[in-house]
Amino acid sequence: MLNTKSNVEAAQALSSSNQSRAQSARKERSRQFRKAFFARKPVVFAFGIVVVMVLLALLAPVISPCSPYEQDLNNILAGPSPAHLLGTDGLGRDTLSRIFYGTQVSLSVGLVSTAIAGAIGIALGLIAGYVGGWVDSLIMRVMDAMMSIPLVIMALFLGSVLGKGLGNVMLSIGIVMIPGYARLTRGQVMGVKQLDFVTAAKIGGATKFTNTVKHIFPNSLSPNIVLATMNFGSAILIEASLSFLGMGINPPTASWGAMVSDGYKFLNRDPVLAIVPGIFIMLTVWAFNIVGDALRDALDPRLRGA
Amino acid sequence: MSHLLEVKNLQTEFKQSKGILKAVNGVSYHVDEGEIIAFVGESGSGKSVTQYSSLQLIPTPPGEITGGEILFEGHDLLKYKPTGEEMRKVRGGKIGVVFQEPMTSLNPVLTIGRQLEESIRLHLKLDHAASHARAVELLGKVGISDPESRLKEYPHEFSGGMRQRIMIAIALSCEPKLLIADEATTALDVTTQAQILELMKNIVKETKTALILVTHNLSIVARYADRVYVMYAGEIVENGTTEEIFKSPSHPYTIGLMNAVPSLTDPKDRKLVPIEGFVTNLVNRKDQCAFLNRCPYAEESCGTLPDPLLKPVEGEDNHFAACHRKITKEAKRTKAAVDSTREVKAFTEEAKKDPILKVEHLKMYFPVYGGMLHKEVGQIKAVDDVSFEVYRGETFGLVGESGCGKSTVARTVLRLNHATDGKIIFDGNDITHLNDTELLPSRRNMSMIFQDPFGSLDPRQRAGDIVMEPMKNFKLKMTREEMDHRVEELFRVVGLDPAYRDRVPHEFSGGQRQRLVIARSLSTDPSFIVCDEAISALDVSIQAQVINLLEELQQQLGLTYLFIAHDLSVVRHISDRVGVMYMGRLVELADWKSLYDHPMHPYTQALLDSVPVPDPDVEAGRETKIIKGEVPSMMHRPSGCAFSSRCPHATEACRREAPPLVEKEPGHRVACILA
Amino acid sequence: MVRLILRRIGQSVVVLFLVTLMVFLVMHAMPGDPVSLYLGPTATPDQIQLYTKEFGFDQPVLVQYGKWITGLFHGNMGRSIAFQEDVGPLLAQRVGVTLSVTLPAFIIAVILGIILGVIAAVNHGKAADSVITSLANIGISVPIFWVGILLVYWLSLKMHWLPVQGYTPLSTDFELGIKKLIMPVFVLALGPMASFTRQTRSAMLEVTQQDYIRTARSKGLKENTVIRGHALRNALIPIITLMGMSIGGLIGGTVLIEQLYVIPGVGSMMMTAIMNKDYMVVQDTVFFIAAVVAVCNLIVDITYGFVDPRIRAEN
Repeated sequence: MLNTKSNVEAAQALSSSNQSRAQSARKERSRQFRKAFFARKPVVFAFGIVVVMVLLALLAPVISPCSPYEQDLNNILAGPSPAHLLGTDGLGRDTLSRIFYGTQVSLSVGLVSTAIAGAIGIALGLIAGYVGGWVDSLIMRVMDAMMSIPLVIMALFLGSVLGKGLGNVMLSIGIVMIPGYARLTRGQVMGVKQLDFVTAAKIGGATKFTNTVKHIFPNSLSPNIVLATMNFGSAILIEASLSFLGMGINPPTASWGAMVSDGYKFLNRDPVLAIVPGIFIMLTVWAFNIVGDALRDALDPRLRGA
Repeated sequence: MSHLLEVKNLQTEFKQSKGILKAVNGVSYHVDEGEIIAFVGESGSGKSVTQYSSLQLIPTPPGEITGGEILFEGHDLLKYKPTGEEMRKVRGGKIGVVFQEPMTSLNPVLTIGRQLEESIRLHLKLDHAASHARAVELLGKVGISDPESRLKEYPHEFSGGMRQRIMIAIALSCEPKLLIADEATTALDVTTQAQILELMKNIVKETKTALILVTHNLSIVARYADRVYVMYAGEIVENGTTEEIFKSPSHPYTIGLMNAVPSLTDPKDRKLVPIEGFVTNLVNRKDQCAFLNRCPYAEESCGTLPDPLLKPVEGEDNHFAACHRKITKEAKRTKAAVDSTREVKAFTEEAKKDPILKVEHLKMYFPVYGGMLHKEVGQIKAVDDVSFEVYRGETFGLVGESGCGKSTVARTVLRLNHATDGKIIFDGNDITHLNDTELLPSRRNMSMIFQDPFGSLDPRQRAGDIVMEPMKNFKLKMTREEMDHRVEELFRVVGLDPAYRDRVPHEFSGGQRQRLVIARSLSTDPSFIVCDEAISALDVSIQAQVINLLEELQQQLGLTYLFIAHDLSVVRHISDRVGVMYMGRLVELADWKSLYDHPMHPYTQALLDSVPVPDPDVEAGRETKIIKGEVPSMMHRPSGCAFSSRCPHATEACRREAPPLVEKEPGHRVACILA
Repeated sequence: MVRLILRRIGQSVVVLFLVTLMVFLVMHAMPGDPVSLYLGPTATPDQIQLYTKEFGFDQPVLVQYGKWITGLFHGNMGRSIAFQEDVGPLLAQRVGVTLSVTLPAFIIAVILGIILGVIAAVNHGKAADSVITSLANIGISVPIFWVGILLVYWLSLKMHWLPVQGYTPLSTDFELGIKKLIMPVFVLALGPMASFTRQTRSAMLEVTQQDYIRTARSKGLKENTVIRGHALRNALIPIITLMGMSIGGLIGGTVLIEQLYVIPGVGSMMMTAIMNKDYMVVQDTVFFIAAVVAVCNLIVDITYGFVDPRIRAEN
């Protein structure tokens, strides 16, 4: 009821000059989206963190004070100093630089594994929902089987087969996350399939394929975007866990999880080594979770315009 | 004597991001013991918020009651805390409420016995045994058989009508002084609606309880209410006795409402007069008449004056209207004059030789799965041996209660289902078994308008693309420019500004969305359109706009409609011939006049008896015959004639064999052995 | 209801069968020969041959799979290379240890999570809500091994209240056993507790918008009754689903916790096996975990049927 009214208002606000019509409608839509997205204060902060992390990852080589690999065995476990703002680790490497470089690992793991999982998972979900029948059953039972093995266990298991290293970690985390997208997409497709506008398109001469591509797929996508954002954080967390267990990124590459693990050995002498990388993990994962939450709220039409 | 409930100058506001929405703006009313009053208005008029405010059931925040007095038995309820002991004693103890949505108003995980007894124990302070006995008694009173065992059941085991009876039982459980029914019958079928309203009326008259009916349906008001409050944009714009309101409506909005709704007693050539425009935005409302922008009687001075207050209508004692001018039904419109009659096309024998659609012995059965291995264990005969034809250029109405199979007929005719048996002949071609590709040439010539305009538009597609899509799909060999041109033309035809073509559906209002759906349905220039409850989801003033548009289009383009609806008055208004369905079968088929004037099937008669008429005089002279029982489950269809379980005239013969649809009078077919 | 349970059991069996197939195929795609990996570079060909025969690696893949599956059916899970023991008894002995950490963690997470979630929902938009929601959001984002390390630093190294690591059976030394369990249990409970809090809050907010809550209020019920008697019962339905899903996360967390606190449970056994390429153990452990998750989900689905009468009725 209240929704309609604000729509009317939006409609009235939109009826501007004919020339800029299309543009202003799009602008108004994106303005409304931004407003809904940034409705809560933590979101601004979280979004800021995401931006900062991306910048850190891109600019790591430029802003890092030292090389992340350069060992200084004469200067191990040094406390904070002007040369090493966060001190050095057990091999005398600059902690701050390693943290900056660790951003690259975390974000690229998040990005690549999310892309792998999203692409394969959404495709499987679409196929299951579109084709139906035994294909659907087969795909979904395999997904069930994958999901009955906990994420970390599955990633460890795949990692133990594939071996350590950045690429393999990305691949195993990506595979682990496929079922989530497949299930979500299939559910969406099954739901959207029932809606009147799909029927309307069918009556309007759309073939099953056109209908899927033009109507069902685009309308099944937005929950996947939310899931991907949240999974970005989860992927970072799993990578950190694998690296902490020694099954992740190969040393000497800087990974936050491995840094915590290394730092743990020197917890009594220099707690900073274990604590600071952990803070970065937490902040990054938190930021992606909050952004995901905000995206969900902004994409949910029930919450829009209220 | 003081009133049972007297509300003075009630103000309720909702805080929104864009400002303050005054949902209730200075509303005053009263109700006495044993009296039935009605609040009428369209969605968003504030009629429900007013009732929730009086019970302090407004969600705070964002809502807030900012002023007024609510005197119930002399005590101001606003002095009580919303969740405090005193307020709770009144709410549920002395005032009972029946809500609109029977399907969602009961807690799904608790037995109805628990939900009923909980309230009894709380207010009447009875022990378990006594409250159980009272619950049994109440269920019996609201017409639920075998109450003892049904108390142990959960809400989902009851039909919508039964749930509403349970809601009434809960509302009555503590012998309230006042019962509020908030659109309590809107979601129900017409026969069930009549049953529930009669039930409430009888209880109220028996127990001297007062009843507030909140509704958008003028006919219900005419049949049941003693007094009426008409609400618009959060204010009462007119109030008086039912007689006065219907005889001499004195506010332009009331008059507008009456002109917008069809009635069973209308002359056939009556043209509906819609209320144009939108409800003004109530956020940060201005101090001026809220109806100004839609009022056909407004003068320039109306814009300069403050919000009008209720003033007595001359010559009548208890009749008030909030209008700067003195308006009557006959007053001259200051805005564009409208016709009050339309041309009714004569229906010739000639036309009958050319059916565009012929349905022969159509059957549509849906399998029912069950058991461990998900095997087929039965069938739902949604459409069972239905035959009819639709002639070119006519409107064929198909009526019946929900679940009777009328929508399934439509969907099967459009080949959205694969018919189990029978034939569908469209435009001379048997399309029953064609596959999607073979269907394309026929599909070009048919289209559909849906009930929910929002759901039938892809939320991500722009309006122009929505209308253009069928042209592309059918490969009409049109250039991009031709298609663009056609889209603009269609926008104009349905009364939309072509400048809106870049908007997405949620940027349109409900009525505009339905216009957009109509534009799309016209895009390939079809001759046959299925309207599946195309106007049921719209407010009455918008309904009239859409009905008029459909009629104009039919005249201009020679369209044929298969018009499916549950509202018998609308079907009567728009249709040339009408078919009545019950439990998957066509029970009667005739031209509109013989069907409405001489219904032959007992079910049709029962349906027509259930429909109230927006005229208190007619209602007073009418004997209300209310059909008993509910539509049986499709899984347990009675043997023989499906209606035999509820038919007052049913005999043994009826239960033995299902009667075929036979022509009893020229053009009037009935499936009843007694007719 | 019985039908529902039987059908769900059938589904679980199919899923578990697929799990065995998947695990087996993936394991056999592993590069390198497990025997030579285990014996190391100094092994003689004779030794390698002997061990290969003993563990049946010389047989065709299908036969190996068949042997594994029939073994599982008979409770014979094969033999560990690294531990030089049968996997069955090894697993049995370690499950108890893992349970003594996961079970209390799960119970704490469920109870506290639901309570906090309800408090947040009831105080929607107020300070208590913001505080609880923020903490829950941090709780689902924080790496648990890191929280574990922080606690070790603070409670063990600085305050000397609790032992740094290790496991003592409660039957041996109750007090020490408890002291050693406090940190692992708390750290493991943290993540699930945060998600229970979030889920309860959003379920409660969703439910309190429903028409039947308005009905309950219109009956004049006390707010407390409305929340506990009407809202929470409905909100529990999605929470129960989450309980099932959280079992997986809890077991995943166990691997980290057992590694961090040096607890000889299933998780640390799996890590040892992975490090040693002890593939019978890895294979069996992964299957065992999947079976535990499947059983938990089965229990959840059955519980579901009891809480929600609509599901009961569907059968």
